[in-house]
Amino acid sequence: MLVSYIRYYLILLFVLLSSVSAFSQENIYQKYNIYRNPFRVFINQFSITATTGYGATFYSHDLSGVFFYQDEQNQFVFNNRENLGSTFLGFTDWFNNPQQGPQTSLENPFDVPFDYLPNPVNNPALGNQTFLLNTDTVDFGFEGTSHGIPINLMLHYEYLNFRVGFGYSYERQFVRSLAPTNFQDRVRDYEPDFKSTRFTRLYGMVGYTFYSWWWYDFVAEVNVGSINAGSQFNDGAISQGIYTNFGVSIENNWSEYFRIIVRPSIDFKSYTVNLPDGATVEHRQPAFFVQFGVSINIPDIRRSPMKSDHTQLKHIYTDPFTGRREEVRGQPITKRQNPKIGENHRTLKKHMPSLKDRVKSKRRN
Amino acid sequence: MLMKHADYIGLFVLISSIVISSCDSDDVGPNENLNPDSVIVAWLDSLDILATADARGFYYYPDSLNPGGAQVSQSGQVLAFYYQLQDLSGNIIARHQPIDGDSLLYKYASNAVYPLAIDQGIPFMKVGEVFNFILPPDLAYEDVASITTSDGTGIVILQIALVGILGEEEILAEELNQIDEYIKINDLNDTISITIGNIDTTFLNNTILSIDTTFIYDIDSVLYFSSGVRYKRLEEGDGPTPINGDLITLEYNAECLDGTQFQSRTFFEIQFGSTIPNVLIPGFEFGISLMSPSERGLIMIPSSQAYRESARVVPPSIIPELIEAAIIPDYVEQVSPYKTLVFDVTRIN
Repeated sequence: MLVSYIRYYLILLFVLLSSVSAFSQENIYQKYNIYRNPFRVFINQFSITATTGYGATFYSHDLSGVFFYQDEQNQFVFNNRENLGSTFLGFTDWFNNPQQGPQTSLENPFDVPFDYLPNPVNNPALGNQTFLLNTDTVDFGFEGTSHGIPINLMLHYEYLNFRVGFGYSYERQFVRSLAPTNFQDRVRDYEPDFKSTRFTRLYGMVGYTFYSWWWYDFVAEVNVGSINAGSQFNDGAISQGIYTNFGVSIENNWSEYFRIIVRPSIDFKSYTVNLPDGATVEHRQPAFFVQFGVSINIPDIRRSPMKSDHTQLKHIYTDPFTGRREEVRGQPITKRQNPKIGENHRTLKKHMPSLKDRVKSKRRN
Repeated sequence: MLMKHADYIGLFVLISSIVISSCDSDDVGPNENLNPDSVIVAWLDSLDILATADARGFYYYPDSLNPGGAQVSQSGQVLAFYYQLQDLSGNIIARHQPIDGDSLLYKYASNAVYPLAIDQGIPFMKVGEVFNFILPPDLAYEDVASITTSDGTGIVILQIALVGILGEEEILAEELNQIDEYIKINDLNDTISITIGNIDTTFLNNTILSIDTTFIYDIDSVLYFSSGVRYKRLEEGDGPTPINGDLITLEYNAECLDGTQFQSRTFFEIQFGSTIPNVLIPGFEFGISLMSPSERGLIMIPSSQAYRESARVVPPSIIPELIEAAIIPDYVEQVSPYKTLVFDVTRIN
């Protein structure tokens, strides 16, 4: 619901701001009767950013309100509201998809009156002792780091130093085992029942360019949105909140239309697994990302259609057939559109000495 | 160029602290810098003892020989022995001698003795002989913090006196005699009259030896079974005996034949016939299979239907530590090898 409101709000904001911006520039072009493609002008208002990189997600959870039980094969949790009997029904896979285990006894199988153990001294079976803990009595849980590869696509509108936008990201995450935070000598690592999963995010973004240096912009950004886990996570048993991402986008402006981006960021998110017996396990999963990529604006003017037109700066081109005056550019989008001396082509290739000559020159010196 | 007084004082303090710290020898834990083998050889040389080195790392030499004595010949034989445990300085750590009671039993070659080096050394002995086994820490008490040696080497001398070799059949026969004696002493064959019936005679391959189930007896005698289990009904119950899958609740006191109580449970819930977490000892499960709800009975179980050879730990004081370290099962603390058990059980539901 919240996400829908954010989405509508952002769309409305884009339309309003783009109208205001377009209006102020329109006067100049009207004055000199220069044609501009309205679609290009509109679309130019938006930056499209694509990034990928690396993410480390730090899982930890609060195992309070439950009993934790470990035997040779399983690790169960179950609600601790009821008094313990001699047997219980516990749940495995409480990380992502709680499954009810078999009726399990709390009796020590190596104590009277249970059966004797052949070859009792140093019998490997003795290493499989059970472990029971009321998690309310001690700080206990599991934690671990998983690695992921995010792919992010974002559209934003920029006005003055502010920007708003929305985006979608896909993350392939490789989940690793979680280590106990206590009793490491007796409790095994928790092994999720899957090796990898995906997380998709749909979010709105606001940002502010707080510092510029040469061709670099530093933009603080906040993303807020919804996150959906892969099929390994049982939707029916999980309550997933919104997620928030804080990042700084470091942008190297190659041109008016093209930027290289490095974006470190941190995610704050969590989800709750609801066990059928009424207990809950809240999992925290903050993450750190470093992403890199490109950001482009679709140019508001096209490149000069004349092959013989070698003008470097933006200039006016008159269509020989219609007589329409139109502003065109002389550079690809990755180059500065109105280069000053030395920009774009600091040494024109044709004037550059060959590699052979450069080596000779170096030797002479 | 001459050192000042302050320099001399500083030098004196430095040397003194080094000397004092090097003299601090309170730590009597195993000294890892010493090679146990060379320590043992040096100790033997110093006392001019001729000992045999075993390839597994221990040394042994006899104190007394008995060439005509029987020797352990196969796994599963039950050995009776006394022992004395001491360190190389002669300090006695623990012992069990004839003056302390009956000989100790353990089952040979069944991983039922701690330290396991006893099992490795016993084949060199004959009944009636006394041997000294010098055990390096890794074959002795490396896993046990509570056993320390005064010299810090962790090397111990385990003196074993082998006094007998038995078969498990002999032990069972002796246990049954003891149970009969127990029944006689406690007048268990002379109580109220009850009705006998509905006994599953095929359960655990037991057959009733002396009771005809079609009769109504006016005396509630002890039931004798071929497995050696004896059952005495103390209070009559009402209802069917349990079948597999029944969740039953018991209350029981467990004790040895000499009356030593070792466990008491007031609410023991178990799914009858279940293997979770494990099956019950056969004698106990068979005994409760005879019980109706509200019935109270005395189940007498020879070791063959209970914990058999259990495990012999030398010395017994380290049993809790070994249980904590998951080296031996918990029941060893309560049930020593070839112990007959008596359960006074009430089936609550």
